[in-house]
Amino acid sequence: MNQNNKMLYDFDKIEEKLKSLPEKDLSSNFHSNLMSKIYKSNLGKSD
Amino acid sequence: MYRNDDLELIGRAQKGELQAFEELILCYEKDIYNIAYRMFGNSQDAEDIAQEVCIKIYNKIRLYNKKSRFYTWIYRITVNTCIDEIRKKSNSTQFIYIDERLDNDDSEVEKQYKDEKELTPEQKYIKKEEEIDIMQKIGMLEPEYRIVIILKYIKDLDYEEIAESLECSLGTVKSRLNRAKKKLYEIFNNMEQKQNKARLTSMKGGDEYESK
Repeated sequence: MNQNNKMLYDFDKIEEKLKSLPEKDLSSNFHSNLMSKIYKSNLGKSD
Repeated sequence: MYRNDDLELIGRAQKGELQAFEELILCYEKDIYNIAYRMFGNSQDAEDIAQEVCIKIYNKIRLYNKKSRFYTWIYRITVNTCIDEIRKKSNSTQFIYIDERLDNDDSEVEKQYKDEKELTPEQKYIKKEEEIDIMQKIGMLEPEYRIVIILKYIKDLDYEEIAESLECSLGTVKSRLNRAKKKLYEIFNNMEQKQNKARLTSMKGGDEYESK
């Protein structure tokens, strides 16, 4: 096996990279938009 | 992860109490978004899907029968919604990592890495580039394999939790995860070898140019 074909990663290294991915934040208006949709759908039901 | 007070909140939400549902969904919406984000690779699709999932949870909460843990029930709805949406899109297996918030907004990069205060802005950009690279590789997996990698290595669930989330047996989870790992391993190594080859070719090209 020449240098080019040598495997460069083992799965432990990949796992480490996956676990390093940061948790993402929702946009600031996500929750209010969601609740507004739910309130509207509830109003529709009670009409 | 599973809080005792959830049971009380779940019960009240099942009786139609909106305030209880709101308290409950506040605990899970970020989790839902993060699964969708890693499935789709961009914040816009992920937020749209997360909204759809939360509304489904609101509409279906009366059907939750406590046979599985509440968060795995939520993950199941999230996974099914993501996979259905990916299948609906015409280039269903094509995953393009475009996070317009990270690409266009410097303050967003700062925000995403806000907990890593010891990093310089340059190091944060390097981390961002690494993240894009990892996500592009995950995105080359079929959705069924992508999701097990996300649940196991990004959400840190155990086999049993993954089985509940995917509504399948432990054996299926293990074999699917093995196949997903093998595929991801090949993707990482193939891409690295291609990049190395390209680097070598460009160096040789440069040498030839220099010697002329």
